[in-house]
Amino acid sequence: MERKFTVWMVGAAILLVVLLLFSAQIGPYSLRWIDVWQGLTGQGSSEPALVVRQIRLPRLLAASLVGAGLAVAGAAFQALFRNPMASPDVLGASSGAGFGAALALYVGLGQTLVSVTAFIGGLVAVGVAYLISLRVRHNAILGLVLSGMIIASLFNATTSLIKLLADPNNQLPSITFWLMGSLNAVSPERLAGAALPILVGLLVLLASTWPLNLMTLGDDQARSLGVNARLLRLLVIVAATLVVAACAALVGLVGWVGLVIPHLVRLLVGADNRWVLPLSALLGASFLLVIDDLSRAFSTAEIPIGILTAFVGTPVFCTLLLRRGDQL
Amino acid sequence: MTVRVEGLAFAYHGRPVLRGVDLTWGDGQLVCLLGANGAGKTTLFRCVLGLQTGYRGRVWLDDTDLAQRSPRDIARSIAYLPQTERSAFNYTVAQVALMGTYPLTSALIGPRPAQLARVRAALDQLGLTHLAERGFQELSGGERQSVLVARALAQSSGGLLLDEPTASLDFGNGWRLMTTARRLADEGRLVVVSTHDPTLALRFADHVTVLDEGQVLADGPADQVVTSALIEQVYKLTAEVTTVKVETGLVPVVVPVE
Repeated sequence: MERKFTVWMVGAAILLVVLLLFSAQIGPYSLRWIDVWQGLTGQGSSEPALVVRQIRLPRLLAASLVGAGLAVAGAAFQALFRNPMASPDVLGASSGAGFGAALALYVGLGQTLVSVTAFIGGLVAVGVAYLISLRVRHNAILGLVLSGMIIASLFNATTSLIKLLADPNNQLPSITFWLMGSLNAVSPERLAGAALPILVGLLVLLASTWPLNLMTLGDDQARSLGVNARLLRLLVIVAATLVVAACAALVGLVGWVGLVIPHLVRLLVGADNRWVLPLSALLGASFLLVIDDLSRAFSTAEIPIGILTAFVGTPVFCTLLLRRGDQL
Repeated sequence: MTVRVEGLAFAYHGRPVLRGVDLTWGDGQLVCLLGANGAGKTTLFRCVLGLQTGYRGRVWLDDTDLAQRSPRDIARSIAYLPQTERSAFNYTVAQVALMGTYPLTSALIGPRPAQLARVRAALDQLGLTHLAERGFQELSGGERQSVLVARALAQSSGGLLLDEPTASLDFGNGWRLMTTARRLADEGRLVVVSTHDPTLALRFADHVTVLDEGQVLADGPADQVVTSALIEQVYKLTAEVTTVKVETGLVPVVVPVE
């Protein structure tokens, strides 16, 4: 199994590099290979090289980071909640981030502050959901899922309220577009701000894969095999929430990545999270790069990536379900 | 590996489940834990495994108070075999067995070649090597239970608790599981099996502990504890404890006569 995993990891890494180079050329400003090369290696100060460094590179790195982050967070939550249908926003991180961003756009804050409030909104939502769940003593998982649902509903309703109150000519469209997700507004500064929590969260999740396997057996079993279940659960929730909230703060709400990619990966390398999480990271990054390429390629007005991930994700997931449903 | 319980009491929502249990189980013993439904067997197991908080009294594993030990430390001493195990994910047999080595590994680094070798040896010992790459969920109930025994062996702990291991097994698989449990005790481990079948206790156990309404009703050598009077008292059933002659000699059986 380890050999099979290594082969897939090398293949996925090559795919990611090829996609990064290919995607760097796509966009309204057409670039040649040499421009991409000069931009990436820091040579030259020509306009094409600047386009690569200032616009394309942050965008591609953001797509890769968000794709990897959401896929890994999804896989980790599926293990933690012992449910292959769990998505990264099961605890309300996306709803909280959506509320934070909508509120910031409503009161007229700038792009950076919108990201900051979205990030804080995501953290607050999950924090409240977690605190509520602690009161449910008999079943920690059920408590988390239900309190996540409650909080997500509350924040979604509040976001709807803000949309209702927003000026329909400028505020409402900007809130609506933000909620649909876009890589258009990624700047080097915003990328740098979001990269830290995403990378820290990713690192923690990738370091927890071995005990995560045991968590899928249930708390009692995990504990009887030596896992401090409560501590691990908190660690994974904090790490995944950092990732999901920072991804939302950077690019808005993007669904389906955290559901489709881990399922696909399990079909390739089996259920062991020591293989599922790292491979999900690489394939998630590639997936979102392709989605972003599509969003730029179809029309001059970019299609929001949240729409495209759903259009691509649903048929892929449906095919997996119908053909290999027993192994999902 | 010795388990010592002193004055163990536990109440669930105000309803007493254990009311001052005292007992000692030692190395190389196969202990059968008998008791009617609701007698407190599962709660006693949960306390000994460190899964239950909020109890009064003390539980000692070898000479250390359980309360002083981390989950990892407890798992190094005592393994647990649940009745059944369900995961939403289809791990291979080898991966399920490998999870037993968790307390012997670094959580960060995961299993090393030594642990992989241990798993291979455990699967080999139970004749499961040919199933190693099969999905655990695709196995029959008996095969699954054997894989869980292999996982407990890979855990390399001195004690093993089996919670009604024969409850969901057919007659043959249940018997074979008890034979394996006997062998593990003969190799020097402490093996505790909770069961509803007093004949299994008479046939396989060195020592029988009987719980009744959260208290130890009887505790001692199997042939002295399992009597008609005890069956009457615990199960409200008239039964005869007798022996039958088979090819290999006389074997004890409990036969209800109502």
